[in-house]
Amino acid sequence: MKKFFGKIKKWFVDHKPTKRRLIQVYTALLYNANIKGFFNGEIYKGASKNACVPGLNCYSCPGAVGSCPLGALQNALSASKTRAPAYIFGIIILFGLLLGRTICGFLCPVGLGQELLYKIKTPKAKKSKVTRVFSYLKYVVLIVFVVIIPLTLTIPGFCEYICPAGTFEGGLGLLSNSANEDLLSILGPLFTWKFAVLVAVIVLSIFFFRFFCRFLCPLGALYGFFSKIALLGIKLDKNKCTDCGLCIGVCKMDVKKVGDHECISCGECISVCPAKAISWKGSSLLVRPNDADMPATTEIKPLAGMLKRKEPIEEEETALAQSVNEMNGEDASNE
Amino acid sequence: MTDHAKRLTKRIYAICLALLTLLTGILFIVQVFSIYRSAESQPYTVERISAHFWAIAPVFFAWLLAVVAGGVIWTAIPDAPERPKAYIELKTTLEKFEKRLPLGEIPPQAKRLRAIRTVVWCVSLACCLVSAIVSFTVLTDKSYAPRFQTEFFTAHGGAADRLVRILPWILAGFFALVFASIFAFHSEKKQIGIVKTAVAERVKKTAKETGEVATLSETQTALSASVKAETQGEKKSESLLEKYPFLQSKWWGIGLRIAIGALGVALVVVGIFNGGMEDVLLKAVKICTQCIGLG
Repeated sequence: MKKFFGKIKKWFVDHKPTKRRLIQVYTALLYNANIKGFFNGEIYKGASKNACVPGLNCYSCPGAVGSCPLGALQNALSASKTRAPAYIFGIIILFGLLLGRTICGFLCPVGLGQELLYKIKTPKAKKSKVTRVFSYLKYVVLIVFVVIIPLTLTIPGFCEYICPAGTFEGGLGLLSNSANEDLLSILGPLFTWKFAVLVAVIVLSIFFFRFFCRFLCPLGALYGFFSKIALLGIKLDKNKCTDCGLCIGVCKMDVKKVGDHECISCGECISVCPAKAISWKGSSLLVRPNDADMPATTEIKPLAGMLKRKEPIEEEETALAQSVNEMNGEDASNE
Repeated sequence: MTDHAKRLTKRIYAICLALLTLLTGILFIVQVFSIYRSAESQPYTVERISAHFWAIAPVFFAWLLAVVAGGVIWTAIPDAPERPKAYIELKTTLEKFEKRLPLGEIPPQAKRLRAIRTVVWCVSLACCLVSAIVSFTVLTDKSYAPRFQTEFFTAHGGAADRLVRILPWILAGFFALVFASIFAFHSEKKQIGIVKTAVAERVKKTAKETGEVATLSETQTALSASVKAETQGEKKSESLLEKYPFLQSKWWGIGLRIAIGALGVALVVVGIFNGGMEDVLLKAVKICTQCIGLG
């Protein structure tokens, strides 16, 4: 009996959520703290909706207590002929400057949902040159759906045609309550399209890590512009870096360098760097080294020992020297 | 159970779950289109939705059970810790090798490959530019006439119709970039081989001229010395920040952040006074049915 309970305890210790996961869960709950809305099927109408939450969270979700920055941006651009969209621009600049894409890694419920879906044990699509090219699609989505369509056609293009968070949190969230049965009568081709998009994003998120974030999310694209100057995030010490490439190999996003516009500052690369060249910005002041998504029983020291390898330049030298030696061998036999 | 059997079990399970996931997703999408087409007006009623989705409920529950089973299997047979794999850009490796050769000694085949890559990238970027221009023209055309005359495509100035029209152009641009990217990868791989041979020849020549005996270790020493000397040189010339010394100052970064932060705060204050914040609230407290796909 003791052994059995010991195994159960070990299972819970091994599957303990990381700090990042806990922050993601708390954030998702905080963004949707209007529990009453889920029961009565009404959206929150309080003053906190003057402010935008940093991550993607539809303001038509019955539980949402803040506004969505992307929805607010599109509406502001739609109305830009009558009023300059200064407020939302200022909010996005401040979020980007303070947090950058740390928002994606820590404060976005859509990112949390995708990471949980990715845990389902199917074969996974690896990142490649093709995925890196398609990671630029989100900038096209940003320009077309978030900027041009609201400006020219005065509709929130991204919310209307793509956003899966709106369909799931807002659409299904409201329709699932019997108090909103009358909304069924207005469902039509648009809902059919958006539901199909939602299902496609969910299925693809099982096979691709953060499919929506990497290829479609215009909010991540916007925050990516602030990666270099954001106060919080990941930084690389170039003096210590040996260009071993382990950080890029371990990262599941389409990064070229640690801390670039694709980096969501999840911190997984910190523990694999043998030269300890990667750290959090402001780590000396604010946060301790990250324990990321590694199992609780894995120790850093043995892992670092396992990761220690020759600098790539030594391997290249060996290969070159061998090829020279082969040539010498050929010359000697010719002579 | 042997290790091989465990790996095989997990692989077979993973493939079956992947197929079941795709099937479940496709069934959901088919059902929602089927509901839409089932009636001319008001297709979505509680009865119709229930009937369509209960029809695929067994598949969905089977999928859920399979997911739970996966959790149990992976707990019982955990994955062995994997050694992380490094990823080094071929372009970086190629530049490191090319910097060990004087310009005059870079083989002509390598120069030709580089020229071909440049042309391919230019052509793909031209494709992207053309697709961007066409897309922008379609999106901003005030007198656009939708091709499809259904409500979905004609609503909001034919927004959906315009998007369908520009989609092939956008995909063409991306596929041009994908092709260029894959072509560049293979071309760089080929070029690295050519440049490596040239570098090896150079080292051999240098060793012969200096009279050193080219054993493996001595060649390695000679190569290390030349690499270290050139790598130090590389690091010095690599740093573009040295051209603009003020950019290396930490005050530049702090000043830039303060300026951008001040701009953000100023915009928020302007937005509060010009009614922008109120607009956000007014929009957020009403259900935007169009935003959440309700039509």
